[in-house]
This record gives sequence, C-alpha cells and structure tokens, in this order.
Amino acid sequence: MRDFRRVIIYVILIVAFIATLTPFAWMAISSFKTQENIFTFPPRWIPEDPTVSSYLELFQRMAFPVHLRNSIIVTVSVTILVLFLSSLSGYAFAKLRFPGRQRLFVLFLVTMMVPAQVTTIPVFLLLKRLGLLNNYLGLILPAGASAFGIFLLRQYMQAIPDSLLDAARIDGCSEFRIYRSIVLPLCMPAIAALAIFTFMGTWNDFFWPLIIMTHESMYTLPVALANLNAGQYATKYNLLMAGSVVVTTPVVLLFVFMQRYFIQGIALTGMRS
Amino acid sequence: MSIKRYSIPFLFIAPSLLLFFVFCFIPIIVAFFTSLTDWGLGGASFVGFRNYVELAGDPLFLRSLKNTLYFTFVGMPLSVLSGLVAAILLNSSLVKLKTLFRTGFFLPVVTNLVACGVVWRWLYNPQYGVIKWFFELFKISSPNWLGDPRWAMPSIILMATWRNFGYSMVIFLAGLQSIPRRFYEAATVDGADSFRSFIHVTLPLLKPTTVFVCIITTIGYFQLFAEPYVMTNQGGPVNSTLSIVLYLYKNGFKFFRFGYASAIAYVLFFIIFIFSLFQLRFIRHTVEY
Amino acid sequence: MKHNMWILIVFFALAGCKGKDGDKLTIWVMGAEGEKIKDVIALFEKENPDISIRIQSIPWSDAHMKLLTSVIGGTTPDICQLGTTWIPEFASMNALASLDRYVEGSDVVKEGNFFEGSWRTNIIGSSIYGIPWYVDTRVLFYRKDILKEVGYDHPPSSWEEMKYLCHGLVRDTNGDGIPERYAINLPTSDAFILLIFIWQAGGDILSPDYTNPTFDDPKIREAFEFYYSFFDEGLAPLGGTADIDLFHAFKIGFLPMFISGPWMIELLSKQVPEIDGRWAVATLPKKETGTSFIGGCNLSIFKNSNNKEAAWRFIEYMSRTENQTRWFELTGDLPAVKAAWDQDVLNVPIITAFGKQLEDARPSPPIPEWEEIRDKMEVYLEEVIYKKRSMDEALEFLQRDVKKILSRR
Repeated sequence: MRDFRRVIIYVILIVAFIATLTPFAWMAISSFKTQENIFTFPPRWIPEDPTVSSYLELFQRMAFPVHLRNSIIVTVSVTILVLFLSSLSGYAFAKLRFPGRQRLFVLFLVTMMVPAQVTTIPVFLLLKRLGLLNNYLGLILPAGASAFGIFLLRQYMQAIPDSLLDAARIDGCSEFRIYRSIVLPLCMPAIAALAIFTFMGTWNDFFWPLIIMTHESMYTLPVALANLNAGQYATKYNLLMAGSVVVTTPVVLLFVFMQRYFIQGIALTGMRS
Repeated sequence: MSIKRYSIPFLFIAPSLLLFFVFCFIPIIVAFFTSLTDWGLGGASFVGFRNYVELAGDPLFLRSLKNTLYFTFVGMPLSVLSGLVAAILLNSSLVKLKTLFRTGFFLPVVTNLVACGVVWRWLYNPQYGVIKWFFELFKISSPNWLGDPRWAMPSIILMATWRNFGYSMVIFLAGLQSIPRRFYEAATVDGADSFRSFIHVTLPLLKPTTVFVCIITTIGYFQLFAEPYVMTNQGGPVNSTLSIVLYLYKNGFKFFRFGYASAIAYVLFFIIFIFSLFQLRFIRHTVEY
Repeated sequence: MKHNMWILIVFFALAGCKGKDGDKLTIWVMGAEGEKIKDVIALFEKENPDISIRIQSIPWSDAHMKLLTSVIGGTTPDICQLGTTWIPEFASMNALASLDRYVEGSDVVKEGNFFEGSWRTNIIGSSIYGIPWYVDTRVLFYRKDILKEVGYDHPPSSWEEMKYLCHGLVRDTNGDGIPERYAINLPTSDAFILLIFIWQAGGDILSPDYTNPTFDDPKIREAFEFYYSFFDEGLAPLGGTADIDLFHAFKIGFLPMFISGPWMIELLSKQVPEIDGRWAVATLPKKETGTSFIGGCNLSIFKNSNNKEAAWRFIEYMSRTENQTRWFELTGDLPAVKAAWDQDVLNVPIITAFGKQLEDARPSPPIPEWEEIRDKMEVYLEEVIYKKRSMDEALEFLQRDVKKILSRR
C-alpha cells in the first residue's frame, strides 16, 4: 500500500516536473543555438553545434558589470527593506491590539487592488518632485510598501500561539524583543518565501527602471538586455533566450539555497517545553 | 495611558505607513480624481461621472469584464489547487529529491515572460505544435488553440496555471511548516491514518494560508495583463482574450485617454474589493489556538 | 544582527548614489540602433568639437511608455527618435518644437530631398515637427520557386491576378479540407494592410480635412471584401501565424507569400538561410493604385530643449546623403533621402523593389487619434473575418465609432 502510494506520487511528480521544466529547458537550450537553428521543426533538443556566441554577444555589447551592480544594489536593498518593514507591520497586525487595526489592514490590502498601470504617472510625478529620478532610491522606496509582504507575514504570525508571547511579556520582554527573538525565528519559512518573491519581482522588474532612469549607466540588467533587441518588429530569439538565462539563473540559485528555510519545521515543536 | 499603550503598535507600523501613504495612497487618490476628468490629448477638464456612464455602455469594456471574470474564476481555483497538491506531495515523507522537484516547479515562475510566451506559442502552434502532436497520438484532432476565439482563453488559462502554481506551492510549503507537529503526533496517537490527519489536521490549520493564497491569486488574476499581451497580440482573436487591464492599458497609454483609463481602474478595483472582502470573511472563522 | 545592520547601512549608502547630469546634448535612440549610432556620433563630434552628445538607448518594447511619462513629467531629452505615427500624438501634447525656422534656413534639409510620404508624417497643421531619418514600407514577399511551380515567373501585378494566383497556390492533397499549402499569410486584423487595400481601391478613411470618417464609401467596402475574401475562400489560414512560425512556414512553402516590411530581409536571411535566392520581394499588386503604407522613424526636437541649435545641427548631419547611406550600411534601415538610393550599395534587386514601392506610399492620417481609429478598424475587421458580424454592420459601426472619436476633440 505504502509502495503503491509512493509510485503514484512519483508518477504525478515526474510528469508534472517534465511538463513544467520543458519550456525552461527549451529556453536554455535555444540560448546555445545559432539564430538559424532556433526554429527548426520538429524541435531539436540537442543543438547540432552548440555555441556560446549569444552569450559572448551579450557580454560584448553591454556593460555587464555596471548593470549587474545596479541590479544587485536595487534588489538587495528592496529585499531587506521589504522583509524588515513587512515583518514589523505584520507583527503589529497579527499580535498587537490597537484601534482601527482591521480597517488599516484592509486599507493596505486595497493598494494591491488598483492596477499599477493607473498609478504609473502619479508615482512618476511624485518621484520627480522628490528628486528621486535617476536614483536607486526611486526604485527602492516605492517597492518598500509591500502589502503582499505584510499580508503574508500577518497570516503566518497569526498561527503563533499567544501563550508563547504572553509568557515572554510576563518575563518582562519588550515588544520589539519579542518580535526579534521569538516571532522572527519562528517565521523563517514565511520570511524565506517572501525574500524569494521580493527578490524575484525586483530583479525581473523591467518597467520602473526603464521609466525613471535617465542614464543608461543606471539601467538594471533586464532593461539593458531588452535594449539589445534588433528593432521595432524584429526579435533576435537566441539573444532573448541567452539574456533570459542570464537574468533567471541568480533567482534559481537563490531559490535552491533558500529552500532549506521554508521546508524546515524549525516550527513550534522545539518550543513545547 | 492608552496613548502610550498604542504608541508601540504604531511604531511597528509607522515606517510602512509612511511609504504607503506617499507611494500608494496619494497616487491612488490622484487616479480617482483623474477618473472624474477627461484628461487626454486635448488637456483635462472635470466631467464628473461621465467616464463611468460611458463605461457602462462600452461593449469592449463589457467584453473585457466578461473575459476577466472567466479567467479568474476558472484560473484561480486551478492554480491554487495545483499549488496545494504540489506542496502536499512535496511535503510527504515518501518523496526523495524534493529540492529538485521544488526547483522544477518553481522555474516557470522565474522564467522571463516573453521567453515563456515564445515557447507556449510554439507549443500551441496549430500546424507543428507539440500539443497537436500529443492529441494526434490519441487520434483526436485539436483546435487552433490561440487562433480560435473559443479556445484562446482556455489556452491562456492553462499557460497561466503552469506559470503560477509554483508560486502558490511555495506559500503552501511555508504554511505547512506553521502547523505544530504535536497536532500530527496527537492525531497519530488517536489512530488517524495519514489521509484522515490530512483532512482533520492539515486542511483546517492551513486555512489562513489558503485564504491568503486565494485572495492574492484573485487580486492578481483580476489584473490579467501580461499573458494576453505577449501571447495573443494584445487580446485577440476577436477580443476573446481582451482583459480589463489590457483595455485600460490601451486606453491610457495607446489612446491617451487617462481619464477613461482611470475610471476603468476604479471599476476593476471595486470588483476586486467586493470579492476580496467576501474571501476575507473566512478569516474571521479561523481556528485560533 | 549587528552584522546585518552593517549590510543594511552599506546598501543604503550605495543606494543613495545618483547618476550625474552633464549639459550635453541628449539623444534617445531605440534599441540596438542606440549602439550603432555611436559610430556616427563619433564622426559628428569630430566635425563639431563644440558639441558633445550623450546617447541613451531605450528598448523598443516600452519606448512609447517611457516617452509619454517623460513628456508628462517634463524630463524629455533634446532629440528623440520617433516612430512616424507617434509624431501627431506628441505634437498634440505640445511636446515637440516646430522646426519651420530651421528648415527654412537649411541647405541640407529640403522637402524635395525626401520621399514625399515620409516628409508628410512630420507635418501637423502647417508646421513641421520632425525630419525623416529612415523609412519603411510594406511590400509583397514571395517564393519564386513555388510561384514558378504554378506557372508564374513574375509576381502578381493586380488584385485580380493576385486572387487568381492564390487559388492556384492552395493545395489540399489529402482532401481533408485543410490545405497543406495556403497561398498567403495575412494577419486576421492588420489596420495597415486594410488601409493599404482601401487606398488601392481609391478610397480613404477620413475626409481630406480629417474631421469626418468615410467608412460609408463603397471603395472601403471593396477593400474590406478583398481582405475578407482571402479567408472566406481559404487562401489564408485563420488565426494568423505568429512571427516565429512564419519563417518556418515560408521555408517549407506552407505560406509562400506574405506582406511585410524591410526588417524581414535580414531576419529571413538569418533565420532561414536555406531558402536564400529562392524568395524575392515585389511592389504590391494594384487595383486603382498600388499604394503602400510608409513608416519608419523621424528625428524630433523637444520643446523644452535648451540646445535646439546644436540639436538641429545633428539632425542636419543625419540628413546628409552620405550619412544616410552610411546608416543603411550599418543597419539596413532604408534611407529617407532619395539621393542616397543612387549609391551602389542600395542597387540590389530586393532593395530596389522597396525603392520603387516608396515612390507610391502614404502615411497614416497625421492625427493623434490614429491609434484609436486603428484599433477600431482592427476590432471590426477581425469580427467580420471570424464571421461574428456582417460587413454592413461593421462598416456602419466603424463610421459611428470613428465619428465619436473625432468629435471628442
């Protein structure tokens, strides 16, 4: 019975794995093909003569270190900021009592429901007024307001037993101490997930860096890569694929690395005594 | 006394509140006032609710509303369920190589959307596509997926599910860790098999996470934009994949009708708000322990 | 935790860095052209040591959005490359400087030097807001070998011949009702091709003063019917073929003809070099005329530029015949200056076919509402092709909707 179930689970997982992996694999394989070999039918899974020419072209045609630096500065800053602010607010919404708590929380959520397209121009004008155009802070500060992060951490923190916090309060711990020493460690799985989502979202963001940067030297990687495309109507698919691989790889590595945090039940078992 | 008591929660929220106020609340309010004007090519003047009245009689808007509802109500349960199933399977002690599977399922989330669009258009190709080939194995003739008004939206839904279930999976995986192990131990002592402990322990305790994933996915899916933008030439065929945000984008940034576009945004916002409120109600009944 | 705080501080310190702004002439150029133009700019700066230029390239995909926000925010550059159809929009937003005064005093930039259609894309009212940089136009791409197979050693010259040829090209060898070879790839809705058919039938979509739509003109109906007939008679596959599969379809002869622009020349030779020499381009088949659509890019100066004189010198430089030819050699973009076409590098059959078509090519109406009208045309055309709406109703609704769009002014 156990073995039978195991087989079923593996069959499902393997089929799903192949299905989800295929497009990514195709992208990665195509990046090693020459332009004329990309759209062959039937598709060729092993490139006839693999070449790294697309990658060479990428690195030659753009100032890779500069754009990489921009991307890292912005993404790491945003991720730290979001983790810090969201966990603070999430804790307050989950575990502290104050008037208007529910209403304020809904107000935060509401900001996710207005399509970003319609606030583009007001935010742009605001950033200009604040002198944040062509400035990393113009990308970092707006991203710090993450309703998603607050919501995620609030939901997660709600599952922490109040008794645990009350015990600490009786011992004379300050709220900040409780937040830092008890709640944060217990929330590592959710924080790890939020870190990945925030990192990924900021890393891949193409729109804002393009809109607010007035110097090419301030472009992040995705913008610089998009710039390499041939023309208004023409797409160089091998370059597109190689660029996608370059942009995606750090996120995938981070995901592999972070996994141990959100699958490990550091959770509440150790706290029983 | 009470001021002092509330000052601590306030300190926790203040930094976020400041950023939200500047970068979210102000622009959203500005957008609302924009929706009461005819800001466009010829300047702007106040028109009251005329944009909203025009929207009510705009067949393309109604079409996009219908499409968006279709996408959300079919796509949301699909993505959430497949994410949940993936998370539970990968949480099972029976499975090895978890890191590999998890990474594989998460790959579509991180892969560049334009690259995904290219690959999926190729999969859906009515002459040489892999999906057509797959159907032919079973002697079934397949439709012209993205080229047929009836099949274009289901094709988009399939692609969106593929792309997003890894997202829900990660949140569910984190959520599963919030369930104290002692509950499982208790259930085992009571003689529950793993299926029953799943129904009686896992599902109820996963409720806050499930509500979260459902709300987030609903909010995201109502704002469907990127998939039809890259897959179906911005809403085709015959507007069968025209979403509300795509229509908003066209009006605002292609036709320069910012007033009208803002009104579309507010109608969409209102719809999302109603549905989210409805879903949030479930939280109230969350098991507190 | 202490350690973490340091990381935080370092990052925010770095994050506070800002790019520097010089008082250089700033030019925005799209996509890969931003790199290629650097060679040209080096030459320009050598000739004009008092001007130094800063180029910013903007990806094509979101260039329009970036321009729009910068116009609204007042952060425009001195010069920008603009798609020909964008000029009316930005001119109506009062963002572009009128170039009348500069053109009047110029020896290089003269109306007669440019293709007429291209020049006209810059005229709004009675003023000029841009100077043509390079042009494109739609022509017929066809497989010579496949046309020969059905007895054609020349491209079709008239609508009638086109249809006759198309019927000859379609092949359904296994008789399942789904052809193994269609005649032509036609997007299920492309307002530019529809517009071309309308012009060729002798009609136009707007009255000469651009204030009234004329979709009740029987010539427009004729063009609609012509477009529709390719699908109705099974000559073109419904559901359109995306760019990626077009190359393959063209290679295996599944779609032996299509209508497109000069950017396809390089793409075809890169993507499907196997069929080099087996395809050719030709001017479009004629009805009353053989008119095509002219597009491309212009160079405009923004109103709030402080460097207008220097900016104009750059535009003049780009308009010189030798620099137009040089740009063609660098990029394959077709020169907007007619004299550049006399150079040997442009004297190859494929290019000369474009040159011939450019002699009879018109721009879309120079009004800011064009994008919206275009969208309406595509919506109704597609509904007709998918048989969701009758042609009469579509034309009636088009007339009504476009009238409404124009009345908003």
